[in-house]
Amino acid sequence: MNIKLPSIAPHVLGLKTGNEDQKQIVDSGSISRTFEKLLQDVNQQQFNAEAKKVEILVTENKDIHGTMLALEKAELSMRLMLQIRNKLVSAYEEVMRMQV
Amino acid sequence: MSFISSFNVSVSGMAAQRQRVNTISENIANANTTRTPEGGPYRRRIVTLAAVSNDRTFEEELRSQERSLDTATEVKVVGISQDNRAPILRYEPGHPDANQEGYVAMPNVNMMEEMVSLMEASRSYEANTAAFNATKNMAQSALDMGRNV
Amino acid sequence: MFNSKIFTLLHKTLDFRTQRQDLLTSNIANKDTPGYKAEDMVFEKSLEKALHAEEPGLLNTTDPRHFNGRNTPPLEMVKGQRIHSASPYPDFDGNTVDLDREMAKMAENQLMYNASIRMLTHQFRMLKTAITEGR
Repeated sequence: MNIKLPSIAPHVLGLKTGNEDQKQIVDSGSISRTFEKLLQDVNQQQFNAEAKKVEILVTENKDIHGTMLALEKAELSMRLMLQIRNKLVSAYEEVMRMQV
Repeated sequence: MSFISSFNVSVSGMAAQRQRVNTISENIANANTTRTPEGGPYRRRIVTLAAVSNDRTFEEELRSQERSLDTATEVKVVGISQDNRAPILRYEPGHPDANQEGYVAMPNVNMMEEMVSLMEASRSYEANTAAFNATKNMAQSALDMGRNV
Repeated sequence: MFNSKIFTLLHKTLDFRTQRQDLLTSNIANKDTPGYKAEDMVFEKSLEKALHAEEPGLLNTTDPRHFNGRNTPPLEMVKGQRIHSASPYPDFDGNTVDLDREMAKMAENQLMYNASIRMLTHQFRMLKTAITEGR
């Protein structure tokens, strides 16, 4: 996958197999695009959460509910993405197990 | 959206009411003081309150985001002045401070008035405390949002 | 995942109630300030209008700043309105704060704020359950 996302992408995308050819099989059209978009979304949420944390700590704007909201969103979107990733991986593994 | 401004407002209210209570207590304590350093009987003290809009520098204005609604108005004691109503004359010829006709100039402090004001200031103080606690409760519940999810 | 209106609605409600808390505490603090006019804030109707604003005949917009042919702002942009809460018994010095009414309003504000937090927590919990499927 050609995604240049900074913080989390490398760790998450490590599909354990590590083999470029096998990655290609999972890389088909809409799934990878959807997943890319999801990753960007997750990244954005993480970024927002970080920004809100810094803001409440160093500025005078103590936006408590705003910060909590951002933290929750970041966590949930991360969970969703990881869950999808897990499903993709297990689907892939199941395909690989098929006797041809 | 921050609760800090609400806290500051309630605190200013408490401080103002406390000043009122102090002043009223002083009035009550001196209700019979016929002799003062500046001459004449004690004169009733009055606390003057004024609203204070949030005074921010231009830089803070630029940095803050949704400040179009400037919602917090604190209160401040802008002065403690003297009640210039005439002293109350009481007929007491034997009193050391009695004048030729035997009248003593007593402080223009009405005990009933002061007691009522005292109770009212006390109640206002408590209302500000309740407001402070309400705000704190809201902030706390926002914090707890992350806990049980 | 967070595009449903309920999140925006709850977030806006929390923001409004925080601002309203400012106004209510200011009223209480200025209960004895001569000439002070008690203020309050309304936003529920504006929020409702913005919620039901999916009308036909909207103009196409490619930028959030474009006008889209209707008068209601999108939910995120709704602003609360400050009003004067006239007390039926103003003081002789022009002060219009009615302490009991303010305390009652503050109790309501606090309750609704806490309720909104609960609802938001509930939303998150539902999503979390859906994502993890209870596992």
